[in-house]
Amino acid sequence: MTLGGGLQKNILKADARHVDDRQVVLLTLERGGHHYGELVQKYADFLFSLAMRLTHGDRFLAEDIAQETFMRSFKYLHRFDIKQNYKKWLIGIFYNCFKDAVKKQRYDGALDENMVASENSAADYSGFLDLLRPLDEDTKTVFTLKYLYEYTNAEIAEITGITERRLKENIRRGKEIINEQI
Amino acid sequence: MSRFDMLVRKEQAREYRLDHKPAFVSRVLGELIAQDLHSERLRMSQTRFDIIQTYASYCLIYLILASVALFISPYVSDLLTYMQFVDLMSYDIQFAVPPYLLALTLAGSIWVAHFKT
Repeated sequence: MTLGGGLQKNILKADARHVDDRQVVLLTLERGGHHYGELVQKYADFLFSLAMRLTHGDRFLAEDIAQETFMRSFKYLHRFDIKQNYKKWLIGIFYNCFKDAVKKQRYDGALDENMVASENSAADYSGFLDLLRPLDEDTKTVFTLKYLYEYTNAEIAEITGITERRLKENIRRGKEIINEQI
Repeated sequence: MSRFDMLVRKEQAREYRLDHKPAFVSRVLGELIAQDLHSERLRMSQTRFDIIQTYASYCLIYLILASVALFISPYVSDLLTYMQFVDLMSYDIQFAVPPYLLALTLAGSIWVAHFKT
């Protein structure tokens, strides 16, 4: 991560409350973890919403995934490219945390119980989440990011690391499954 | 508007919020700061370990070089004697510089050069 000395000094002089994500990242790297609270505060609800949508309303799991995302992003903050968009980078980490959480649940054999629990709670949620239910994690993430958060295919490919070709294939397959339900 | 689009709009309009955001933020921050302190301690102990490892490796290199020097010195001595015997050498280097001393000096020089860099 490289920045001109002058710019970096100005960023560090600035108050953390009035700076953008990139500046908070620099402050955190220069002055310690307590500055990262600014970004946690800013993106906590966003990550929680995304997690709620992907876990079909499992609040505990959604909170765990959001927390793990912040922990992991802090751990790898030194690898963050300052020219990159912080939010997209965070969603990329979130995507990996989400997949790990699902894998762990499958391994623990707890997924079915949670699915039942979330099915009960999902009665209050909109039908869109129910449409996504039969999709695998990758396709579910792609659909959520594309239709709910309106990211482009190129952006989703950049965030998730899925190739655009595979992404299009996921969308095609997902649409087939969703059309059957509609 | 298709049913799919309608469901998307409906879901987009829905808001999900953490029940206790301040508690969530402070919990995450607490973990982050603990991790920060832990990694700082880890980095310091890693630095100490690196220094010890560097010195240990220099000592090992010196021991290996010294052993090699001691091992080859009789052969060097024999070679010099043989060279003198077949008149390949016109002057008596064998007695001027004992070969093991030569080998040790060489090993020491390599070690010092390595240490300086």
